[in-house]
Amino acid sequence: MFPADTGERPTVKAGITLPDPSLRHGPATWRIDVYDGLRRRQPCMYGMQSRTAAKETASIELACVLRPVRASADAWANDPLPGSYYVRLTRTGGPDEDLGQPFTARIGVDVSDKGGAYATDGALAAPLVPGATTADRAKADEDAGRKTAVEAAAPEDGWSSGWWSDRWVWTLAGGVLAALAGIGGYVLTRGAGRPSRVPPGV
Amino acid sequence: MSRTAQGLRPAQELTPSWLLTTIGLGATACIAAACWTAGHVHADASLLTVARFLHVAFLVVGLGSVLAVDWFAVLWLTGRRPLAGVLDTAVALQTPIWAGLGGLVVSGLFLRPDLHSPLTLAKLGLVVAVTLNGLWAHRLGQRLEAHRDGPVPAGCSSSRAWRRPSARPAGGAPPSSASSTASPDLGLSDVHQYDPAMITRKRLATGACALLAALSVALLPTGAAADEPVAKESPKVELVLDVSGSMRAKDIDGKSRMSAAKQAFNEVLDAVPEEVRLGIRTLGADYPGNDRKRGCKDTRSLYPVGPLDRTEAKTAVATLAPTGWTPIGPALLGAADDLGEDGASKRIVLITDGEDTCAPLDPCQVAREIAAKGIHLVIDTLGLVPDAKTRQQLTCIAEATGGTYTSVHRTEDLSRRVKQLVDRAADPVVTPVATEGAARCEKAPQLKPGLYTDRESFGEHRWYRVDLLPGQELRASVSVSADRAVNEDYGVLLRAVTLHGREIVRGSEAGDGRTDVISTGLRYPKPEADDGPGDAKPAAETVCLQVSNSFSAPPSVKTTPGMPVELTVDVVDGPSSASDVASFGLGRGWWLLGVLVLAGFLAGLLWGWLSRWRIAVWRTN
Repeated sequence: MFPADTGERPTVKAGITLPDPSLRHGPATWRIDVYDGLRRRQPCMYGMQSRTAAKETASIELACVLRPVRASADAWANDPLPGSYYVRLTRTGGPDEDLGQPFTARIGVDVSDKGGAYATDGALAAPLVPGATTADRAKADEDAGRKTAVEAAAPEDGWSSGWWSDRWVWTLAGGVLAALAGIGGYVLTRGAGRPSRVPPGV
Repeated sequence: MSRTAQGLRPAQELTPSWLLTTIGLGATACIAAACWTAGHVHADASLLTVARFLHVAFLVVGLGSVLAVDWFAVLWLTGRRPLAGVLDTAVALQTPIWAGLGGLVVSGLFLRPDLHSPLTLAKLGLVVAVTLNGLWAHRLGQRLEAHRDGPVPAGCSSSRAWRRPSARPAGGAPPSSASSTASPDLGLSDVHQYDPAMITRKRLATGACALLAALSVALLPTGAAADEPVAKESPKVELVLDVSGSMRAKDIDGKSRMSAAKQAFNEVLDAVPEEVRLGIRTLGADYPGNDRKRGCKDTRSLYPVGPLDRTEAKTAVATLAPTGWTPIGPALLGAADDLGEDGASKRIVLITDGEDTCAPLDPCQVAREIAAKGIHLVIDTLGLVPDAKTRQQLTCIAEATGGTYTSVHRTEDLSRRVKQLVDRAADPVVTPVATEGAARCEKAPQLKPGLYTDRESFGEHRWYRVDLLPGQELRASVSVSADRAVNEDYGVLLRAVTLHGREIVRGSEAGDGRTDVISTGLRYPKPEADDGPGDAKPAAETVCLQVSNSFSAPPSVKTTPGMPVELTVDVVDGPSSASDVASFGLGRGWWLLGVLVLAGFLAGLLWGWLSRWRIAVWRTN
């Protein structure tokens, strides 16, 4: 389980060390799936989600790059929202004789910030964490000293409030440049203006 | 006039000590108030980043200014600058120094400091000390003002005599070496009485320490408070060990299966976590004879489920010897009884090497019945050097209850796996509440937020009801586990429907291939109610949730009891509404920049022409 916050694009990587080739009887297919806080399966943009390992292969690598997480989405959409994400590693095909053999797996998540292009208006009141409650219940839990589910699943710096995105920078820069361009245009066409030798009031 | 009198300025009014003390106390109180406020400010991640950046920026400004003053003081002490220069710099840099301190405190408000960490407290103490030191240094500066025009300490003419101030304590003696300008007049010895070098160095040292500590604390990660485990029943695990005659076979690491199991058990019993209540049951340990009926009842509890006494359990295990039959089914029933019916999480770990010899009681069916009782019991199976039939039986048992199957060929695998399973039992889990959905929404059970479990057979629809107030959001998710052999294509559908049958939102998932669970979820944010007449409390809407699945199975597979369904229901506050696709309706990209620049340019041109036309009109009149 890993938390993903607004604007992040998580990349899930799994490295599986398969059991000893002498114990195996045939090729095996492994896959990883990522589910969001509502248990909906999230599609992978890139990365080999599923691979078939031959009998002699010692280890395989699987990867899944999720879509960038956005702050809000329609209720009818499957878009990734901030919250907890669950990774599931399964062996989907392989000889039955190989069932129950020991293997080791390393699962890691890298996160890259994809900010402004996916910054949406609006925000969820609570991230998609199973066990999230209304604000009153959360406050009651806090007063009682218990950690709420949302806080327990939060990333290191806490959940971001999402008001900042690089769109502010673009818009402000656009405004400043427009003002400068306006001044430039004005300077070009204003002409000589009022002659200075004419006294005021004339 | 004596040289002394020329060197001295008329004594300035020094800031009275009581005023400095009051300001010092006030500053300490401010910093303490800031610490207290910081504990109550909830800064989100972006604000935290900005605050950290500003904290470091103010640190650089404040520390840089202090170091600049101290560098000038060093230059003065080494005779390269007059005192007047130092004092002027000190006065000029007062603003950045105090602004830096102020900004440090204000930005520290948002840094969420961990006030229980000794490092944080040390840093805050140093900041207070530096502040107070700064106030008194201000006074020192005023005193030094009196000697502003005093001679440069021996610097310009003699290169030897300037060493004097750096080492001498207060009340230094007149210099021994002859020097024309550095005359030991009263002015200089007055200066030495205060020994600004030492005070300056002290200030420099304290300032550097405090601000370095401030920098390091600003970069310290915020410590997470350990969360209290919710007090609940401690988990129970029952290890069921096969002591049948087949365990005599010597094919695990060259030893007999029984000795491998004993060795593994010893290791496991050493590593059982404190909170787990462990029990041990044997099967086939007592009756070596040939009477099948008696052999198939041969299962007993070796160590009752409860807090573990390691020596007692180990001695009990050491006495075992491979004996009789393999009544897996009766052993599982016995183990389920041992574990009892309370609310704790329960696990059975079955370690066996052969298939059940007591047909017609099929252990897989027994496991399914145990699971259907809804007591949330998980059976993990381990097969010791299993053959195909054993494997089929054990995987069936594990699947039926949502457990795992492991095939073991080495002793260390056995001990490691059992330890892992026992540790997993100690992990805190939420126990689902058993519920039963109805065939129609009107009769459906009312669910509050939480985790529920139910059973649904192939093609059945189950309904549940949840109440939702306006301005709240309903989040529901469902998982259906395939605990039996099913066909390769399957799906699940979760719908939120009003009482009148209008579909609000749905979540669905379909899959192909081998799987053990399929899940989906939905979100329904209910909009805020428009204020109705008067202050009537808004009525809660009843949302009907329908769970349906499209699993199918070959005819040989039993359809009852249904497949396990897990349903979560959460109710949270509704989201803030979006008025635009983009955040705050802002723009992004080069096209936006280009369009804005072009628009600005055209507007400027137009304005220029307009003003030129106005001037022209003014000229003609």
